[in-house]
Amino acid sequence: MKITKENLILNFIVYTTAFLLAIGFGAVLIWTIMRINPFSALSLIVSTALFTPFGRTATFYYLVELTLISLGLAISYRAKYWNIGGDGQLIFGAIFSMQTIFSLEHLFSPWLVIVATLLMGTLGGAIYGVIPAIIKVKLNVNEVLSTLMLNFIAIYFMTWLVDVTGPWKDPHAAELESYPIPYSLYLENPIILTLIMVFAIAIIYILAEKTFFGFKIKVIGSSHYAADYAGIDRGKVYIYLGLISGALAGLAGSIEILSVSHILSSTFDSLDMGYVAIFTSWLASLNPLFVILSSLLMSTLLSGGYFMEAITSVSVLFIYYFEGITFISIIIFEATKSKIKRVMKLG
Amino acid sequence: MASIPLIPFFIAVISIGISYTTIYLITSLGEIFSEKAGVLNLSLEGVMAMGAFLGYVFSFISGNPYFGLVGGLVAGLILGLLFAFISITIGVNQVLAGLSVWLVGMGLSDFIYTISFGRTSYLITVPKLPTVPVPYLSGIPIIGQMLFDHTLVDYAAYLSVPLLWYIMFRTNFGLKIISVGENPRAADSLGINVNRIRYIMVLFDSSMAGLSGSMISLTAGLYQVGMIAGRGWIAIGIAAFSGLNPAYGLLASLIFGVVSAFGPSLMIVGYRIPYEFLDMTPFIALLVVVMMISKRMLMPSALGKPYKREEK
Amino acid sequence: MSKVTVGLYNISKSFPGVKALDDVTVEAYSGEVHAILGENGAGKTTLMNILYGLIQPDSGHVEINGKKVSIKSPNDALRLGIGMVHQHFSLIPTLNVLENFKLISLAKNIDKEKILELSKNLNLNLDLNAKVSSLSAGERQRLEVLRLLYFNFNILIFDEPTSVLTPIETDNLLKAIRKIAAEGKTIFFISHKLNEVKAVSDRITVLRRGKVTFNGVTKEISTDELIKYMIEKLPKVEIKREIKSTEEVLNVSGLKVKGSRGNLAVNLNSKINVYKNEIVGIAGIAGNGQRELFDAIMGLRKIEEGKIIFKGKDITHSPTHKRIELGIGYIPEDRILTGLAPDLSIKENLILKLYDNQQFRKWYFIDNNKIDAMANALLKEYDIRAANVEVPVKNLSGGNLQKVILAREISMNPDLLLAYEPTKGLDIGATYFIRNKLIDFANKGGSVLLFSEDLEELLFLSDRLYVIYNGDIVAEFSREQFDEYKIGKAMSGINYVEVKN
Repeated sequence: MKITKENLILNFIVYTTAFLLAIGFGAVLIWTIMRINPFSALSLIVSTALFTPFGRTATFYYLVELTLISLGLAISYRAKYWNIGGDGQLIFGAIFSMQTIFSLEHLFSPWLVIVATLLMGTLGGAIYGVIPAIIKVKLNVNEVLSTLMLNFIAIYFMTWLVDVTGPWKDPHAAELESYPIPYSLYLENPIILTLIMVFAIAIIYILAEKTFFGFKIKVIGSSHYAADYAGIDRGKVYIYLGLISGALAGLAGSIEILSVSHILSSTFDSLDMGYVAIFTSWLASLNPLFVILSSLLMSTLLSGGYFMEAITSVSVLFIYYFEGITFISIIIFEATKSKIKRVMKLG
Repeated sequence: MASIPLIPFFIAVISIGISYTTIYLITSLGEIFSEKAGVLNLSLEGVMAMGAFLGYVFSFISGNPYFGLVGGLVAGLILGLLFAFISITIGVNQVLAGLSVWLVGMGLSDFIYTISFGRTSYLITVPKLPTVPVPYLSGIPIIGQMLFDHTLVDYAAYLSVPLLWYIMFRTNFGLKIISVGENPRAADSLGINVNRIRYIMVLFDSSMAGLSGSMISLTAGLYQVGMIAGRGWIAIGIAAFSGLNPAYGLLASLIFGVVSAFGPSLMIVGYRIPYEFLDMTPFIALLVVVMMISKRMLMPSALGKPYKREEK
Repeated sequence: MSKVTVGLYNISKSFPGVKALDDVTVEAYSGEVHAILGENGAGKTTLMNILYGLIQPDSGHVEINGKKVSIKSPNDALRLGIGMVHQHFSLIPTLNVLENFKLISLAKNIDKEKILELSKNLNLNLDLNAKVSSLSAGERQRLEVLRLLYFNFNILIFDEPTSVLTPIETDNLLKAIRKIAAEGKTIFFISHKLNEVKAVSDRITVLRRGKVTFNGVTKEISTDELIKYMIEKLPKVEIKREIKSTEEVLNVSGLKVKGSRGNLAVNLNSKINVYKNEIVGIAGIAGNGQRELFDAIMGLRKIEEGKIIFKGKDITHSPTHKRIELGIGYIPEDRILTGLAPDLSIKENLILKLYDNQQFRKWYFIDNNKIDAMANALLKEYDIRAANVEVPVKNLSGGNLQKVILAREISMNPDLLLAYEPTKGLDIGATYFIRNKLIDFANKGGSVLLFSEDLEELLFLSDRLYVIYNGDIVAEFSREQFDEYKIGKAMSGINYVEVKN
């Protein structure tokens, strides 16, 4: 969307209303069923997420991961390439990362291994992300269906890896999990992670707005007939988008292993970051610069919600519903935008 | 490979397979009708989740599992109305509308469940749907066990297929559905109310999804977050490559149902195998089938596009 | 004594950017055929769609048999006894003939005998179980008419019912229409074809740009006078052009291209060529393969057999972007979804095809300054009415949309410009502008392959004319040989029979 003052105000009004509606309805539910004051619940979430050291760390990590994945989805959706495979690509990134760690941990210095892990995670995600693009181009398979199927396949595969019948299970652990990664490989330096995130934002922004590749994406998204007519090779663009969005999700998976969970377990990605990222990319109007803002919002809710769950057992799964309601408000707004503008001009 | 006791395995596969098939069948039949009228409904996974939850709740409140099924239908109607309103009346892109209602359905059901029932350390069970053996027929050795000892919903689902086929291809109403999906402008100019028919099909579709969702929780007697496990998506896939024909929908649902039953059946006969690979099979199968036929699939020309009369 | 059965009074209707109908009043009598005559875009279909309930008027009202009625949907119209044969078919191809009858909402039991009876009158052999997709365009059009006749409406609307009919079929249809009128029905006949209107109608209303310019009895007005009411006269300009026709730019031979439903839409037995500096026209009734031909030359459709040679190179299987690079431009039929990306700005649409061009790049990036400069220059040169180059094109009116496309295509300096209905639906000013630009382009060394349903436009612009019929070229005329009668004959198939009252 063009950044004009009019549009920004309109967006702000609608998005805020959407949030309030979603929160309002959820608040009513919480109050009636659980007899908990929803306002105190909300303030608890925000204060834990932003004002405790533990909360801030969690918020930060979620921010980085969500931003990375959402960047990839933002440009994919601009071309109407409906990649919902964020989760699967994230998981494959994590799997590639774990394998790299297991193979290299005793052979090289920690920093080298970390770099290699990040690269391999990115590669893993890219591979898993380009598969649906290829079968879309060659076999005309709808990417909504294929990425969704691949998500499930990835989850089951990962569960097997850490199951009793699988190769990575830690025999001493009671839960379904792998050996933890060595302490030396923890990546907890916020500066490095921020640099990675900012670098990704910069690259995607430049790609989307300053290059002809981004231009082609816009044309395809506006009308694929016009794109074909203009001689744009849509297939090539879809494949690049599959690679890029997969790579970013894979990188996020690497970071999840190196910085957050330090282990691969059956509860990996229980928050379904891939799906949350769909929402944050839409909230940012598919604009690479706004993605960090919407991701910050969601990461606050996620980390705060996690802690709140431990205390009050209000499930963090309300995120889904929240996303859904806001999503609905947004798309209704987009569809009726011209009518609203007309009403605003008259009023 | 260790020896598998074949007969018990076979019985288990067919018997469990039939129950699994019902879930796929009910949902995909609904989606077939919706897509035939030109509406792609991607919210079904979430509708099934809501159906499972409300089915559980209704059974809990009334103590009667059949009343639980009503809960499933209610869930379907509510979410169906929401989806229809967004995609038909307002005219939002059907893919986006479906995905957003999916999120709402999934999130709301899991959320309300956790805050109301989930704070206990044990799972609260509710009365289950009973299996009703068919008199005489269920007494037949082997076959009787496999085919004639299921819930009433299972029987109804299979019997409904010829009826639904007849409605779609042999009645005036069915013709209207087909015309609305193929060429809504033509249908409109012939006096057919395009959006009304689409609304009805969407409500039918969602109710069926809600019903099959409630089947999932009511046959288990409990509710678990994530118990739908992707079956809504598989049903959508089944609808897609059934050529939007209820007969083929039945065939495809059977195949997937039986394939899904392999895993549990092997476990029942004591054969240990990484169950994750068996759980994967429906998804891999769907992917492979879709890859094989996507090039040749003929869908209704107006599938996916909202119909607005004054658009030139 | 016949009375007014249908009255449309003071009907006005506007769409974004254009006033389609301006205070139109029409009265039709029972037992009469009332023709609505006018050019493309005059408002004829809009007016009839209002009568049929597909569109609601901004002001004015409709009376049936003297009573004011409110027609909010086709269902209302059907209940009032109004039936319509549309310009674009309302048959469902995947269903069979009988099922298409059952679709009309008022149907109770369908009398198969009656259908077969009626079909004899229209010379149509009908297999009730055949799928409509297997019928030819002419058969489908006659089936539409037949369906209308079966349901015995009192008021019938025929919107361009002869657009894909051969002369004999047309003749039969017009005779059938006169017969029905004699039974006391009220009939509206929409057309832009003067000779048909003259042959079949009792009264004529002429629309020009949404206004009624003439309303009277058919017998009392001549064809020449009618033409004057239909179109504002374009000043006839004598263009002195030098035609250096030695260098062949395009050569299309043996081409076979499939249509959307699998049939062969293009099946060339003769070849088509275009020389430098030439404007070559293709004449034909819509639906005879022109669109598929143009798309195939541009690489947007698969070619089953045949060859396309452009500037000496075989481009039969080259991808579209290669053809653009080599110098083919295309003004497509669909402006807003194919020729333009609707959500993008004028500026972005002007460089739609230039994404590989070094000229607009600064290293790897888009050079916005260069693009702005070029866009603003083109905005002025082509007199595009818009606030600035950042405006999304979907907000522009038809004429300006076409100017953007034209500006882009010509500024890319192609050797060959394909133009499909370049002035369809445009007002006089835009039409004049675009025709001049095409002539100018040809004068400066370019070549044009032009298709238009407007024969007058083709005759005005072309140096040479091919006629396409059923996917094949059936005639070729050079400018000296231009003869409207002979060309029209070729367009309708070879046999031509006079229509008598």
